[in-house]
Amino acid sequence: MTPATPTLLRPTDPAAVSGLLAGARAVAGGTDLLVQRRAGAEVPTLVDLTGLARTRPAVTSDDATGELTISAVHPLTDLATGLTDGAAGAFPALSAAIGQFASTTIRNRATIGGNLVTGSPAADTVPALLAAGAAIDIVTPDGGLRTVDLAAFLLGPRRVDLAAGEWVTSVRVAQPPVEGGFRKIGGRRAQAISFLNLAWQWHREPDGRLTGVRLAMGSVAPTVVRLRTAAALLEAQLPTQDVVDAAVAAIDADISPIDDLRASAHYRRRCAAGLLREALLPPSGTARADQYVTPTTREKNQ
Amino acid sequence: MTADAHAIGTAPAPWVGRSRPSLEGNDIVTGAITYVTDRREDGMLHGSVLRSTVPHARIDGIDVSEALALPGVVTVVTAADVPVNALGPRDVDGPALADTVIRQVGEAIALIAATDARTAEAAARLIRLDLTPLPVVDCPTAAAAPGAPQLHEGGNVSGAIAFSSGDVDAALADAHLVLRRRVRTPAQEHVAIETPGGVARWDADATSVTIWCGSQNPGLHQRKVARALDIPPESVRMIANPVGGAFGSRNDDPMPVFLALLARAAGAPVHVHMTREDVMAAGAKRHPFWTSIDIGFTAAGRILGSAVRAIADTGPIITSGPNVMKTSAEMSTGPYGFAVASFDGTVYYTNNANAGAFRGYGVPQVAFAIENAITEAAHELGLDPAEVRLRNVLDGGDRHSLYRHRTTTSLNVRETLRTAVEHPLWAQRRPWQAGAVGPWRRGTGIAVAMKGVGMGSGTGDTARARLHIDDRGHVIIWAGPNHTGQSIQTTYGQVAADALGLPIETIDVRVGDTGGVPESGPTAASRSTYAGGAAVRAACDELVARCRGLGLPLSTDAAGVGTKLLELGEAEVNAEFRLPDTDDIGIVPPEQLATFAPHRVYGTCTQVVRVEVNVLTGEVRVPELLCVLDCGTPINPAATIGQAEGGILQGLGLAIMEDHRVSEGIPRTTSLENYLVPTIADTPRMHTLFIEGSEDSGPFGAKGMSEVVVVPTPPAIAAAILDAVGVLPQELPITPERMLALIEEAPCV
Repeated sequence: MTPATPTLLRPTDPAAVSGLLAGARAVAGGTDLLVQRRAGAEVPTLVDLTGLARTRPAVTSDDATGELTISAVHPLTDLATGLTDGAAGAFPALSAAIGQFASTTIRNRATIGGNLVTGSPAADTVPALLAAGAAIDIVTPDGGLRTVDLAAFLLGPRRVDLAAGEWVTSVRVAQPPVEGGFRKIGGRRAQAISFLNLAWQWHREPDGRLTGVRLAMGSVAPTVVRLRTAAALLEAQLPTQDVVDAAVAAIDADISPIDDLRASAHYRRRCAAGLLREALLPPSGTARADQYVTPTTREKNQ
Repeated sequence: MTADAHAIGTAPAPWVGRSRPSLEGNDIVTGAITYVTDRREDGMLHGSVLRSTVPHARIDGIDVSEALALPGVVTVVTAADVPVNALGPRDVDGPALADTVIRQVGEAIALIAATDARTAEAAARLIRLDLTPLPVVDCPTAAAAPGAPQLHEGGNVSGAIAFSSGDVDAALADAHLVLRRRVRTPAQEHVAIETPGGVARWDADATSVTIWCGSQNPGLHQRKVARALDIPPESVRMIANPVGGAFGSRNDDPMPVFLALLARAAGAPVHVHMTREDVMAAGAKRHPFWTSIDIGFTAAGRILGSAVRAIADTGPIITSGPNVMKTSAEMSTGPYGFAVASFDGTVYYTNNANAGAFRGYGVPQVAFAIENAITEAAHELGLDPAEVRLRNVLDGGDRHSLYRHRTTTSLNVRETLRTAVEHPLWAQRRPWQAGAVGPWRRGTGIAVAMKGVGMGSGTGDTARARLHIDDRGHVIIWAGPNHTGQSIQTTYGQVAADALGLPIETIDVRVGDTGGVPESGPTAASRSTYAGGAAVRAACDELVARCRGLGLPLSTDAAGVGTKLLELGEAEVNAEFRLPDTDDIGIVPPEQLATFAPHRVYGTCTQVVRVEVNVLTGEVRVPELLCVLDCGTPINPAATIGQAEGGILQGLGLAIMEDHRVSEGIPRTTSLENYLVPTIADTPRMHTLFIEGSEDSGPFGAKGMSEVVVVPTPPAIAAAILDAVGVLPQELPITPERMLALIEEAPCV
């Protein structure tokens, strides 16, 4: 039975949030909180941060550096638009992650802030941010701002570096390279918690060598983790068969998957290797329409 | 759904063969419909059910005093308060509420009614149970082991069925190829959108009860409630409509009994609505099966004989267990004709989730064994998998391979196969395969299925209809089987309109209410359109004949005819349709006809499916699927396509993701977060085609199809995987983990 309905406060002035958060809990899309409540979790007064979205853009790009500032309180749908409409910079891995995140209805509610603070090792937006070396901007109870590296922010399963009364306002990443991506493996093709996921970004030099290689993987350790060893083996190399084999073999050094209901540790290790191998396949040409898909033809009078 | 917009216009007739939107469709999509669980009554209380969290324990005491003392609590019902604490006439039917022993997580122990739902839930938590844990029987092997805890007085065997048509070993001795394989299929959850519940109202003066609660068998639930409350069946009225889905889950559901017990104890209307989590733990599942097959082939791919052995886990009470295995036995030879066959199946009691009726009813499990074997044989023999099937299929009127009984002449597996083979999905499978990109390998699979319509020969299976015409010429028809989400009343109306020659708007079909509908048996066994439709047709034909005999012009002056019939006391018609037995029972002993219940009428289906397998991750995608149906006349084609597509998705779920997992008697898949069913993103492009055909005994030539469509999907997907990556999965669901393990055991190029 769902617990009693909490009080919901919906500030539209960022300066008002800290004062309301005393003894209360911040909520954005609520897509995780609703599930927790159904499981019996009692929640106090809620401070809905999504009212702040109208006070600022979803994504902005620094003209000089190309650094992206991504709002933590906008729905993912709005971020996806912000990352593709040309006004701000592109972030291929995050765009791909949002495209594979839950379902359209969930993306219309869920936020980056929520995905970060719930501290799930399976969170689907986190690998792209971690691979990009994101910094998290946190508003402190006194209304000040502190910034923490995402890698330091993630402490363990459902544990993050966020004190009572603090809230995440935005996430910043250095201008991402044009090559990047995200893949998740789940029990089905939408609305599924990841068995594991992988985000990557790199520059492909004119001679084919990869530089700035950054890899991050979810659901294979207590937090989303960087695949530093594998990335180091790829750095400044041509992704030849031998190099790829070595990088794939090195994944084990940076992950510590467990058996759970969704998948075994063994599968996670095998599939982690498969995902990186797939990401390193030569870029295929633009997808062409499949000429062998049969048009749906309902029979007359059916 | 309708290609020809004109077809759903207002042309008067014929209605049969024309797509007609579900009568309640607008109300469903606008939210205007009042489902039984939406019903609210004045003075209504809210109920909850205390359910076991342990799989097996002796009950030493139940203390409800604290719960009763909670303000707002009106009544608490335990086993001691139930007049006849039984869900059926046999011990193995189980009690309404656990009395001396708990045998399953989720088993109902006590019922609470309170002024609001939150109080009822809180009261359930205040009930003190004194339990002594008992050893858990966690699988059929454990159930069969010497010294195993006995879950019932009669032991742990819930049922067994065996039959042989000859010496299979001798037949296999001459075979060019013999395959001995074992497949495993999981427990599957129905996931009807509406979870069980409803409202009951007790009339103390009349000692009668009215229950609004979904049911696939309102007459059976009426009798179950009457037994538990120790009142006559006519004192129980079940109104089982409208309901948001069933798929078998409303066959064995005890909810009507719970509602009635609470309303009687509280002396007030009581509402109960199960949570999804409750259903996941306590609701019946598809029986998990372990099925072995020994099957022999000639070099040309002709089947020489097969021996199938199956073991099923029915959980702690019998529900449908032995009847499911009876259906498995009959369909253990698939839609194929060959000389010798045997079947040996056993159903065990365990402390796992109770299993019961589920669309397909024992057929998907054994079909996976035989279709996989045919797929593998074609592969081994270097033959086309469709051609091997064509060389073996039963034709209409052929004798069944196990029971040697005569099948209906409408059986037309062959035409479904031929149609499928000519379709581009099959014909162009090689160029499609060659278009594979990256780690995604492509393959195309084919599988065939057959499933009996109705309860089978010797069972006396009968559906009934009652018709009344009034002085406006309007007709009311009370008919069963009931609506359980498929809008059967829409279809019955089409049958009636054509049979009577009256405007369809003047015909009001009512289903699901024991206060009006004559006993018509369950919405089960793919029998509703066939049997219920035939009963409606019989009632209509009788009215037409009566009018003709009296010289009354029904089709041109219905109001005048209605007025005249009312004067004559002839305005009501009762009719029934008894499903015909096979006209030749073959080698089934006549005195055991109902034990094996071979069918006369079968629906059949061929499916072709395309899959893509990622050889690096084990993911399986199903982009496109063809379903060719042999269902006689599709009375409401759009509804038939809807049934096919829904059934395909349940088959697809069973094939690649659905798995209700229980270990040590504890359910591990507890909600729709960890029990996954296909979403629209997992849904292939589906093509459903009907072949020409007509079943003489059915209404306007119709026969059943709603279960057979589930059956070919898993083996067709397995066959497609073999085509894609060279390995044939033998265990469902084919999760990415299982798929990757198979690929790594047998690496493909």
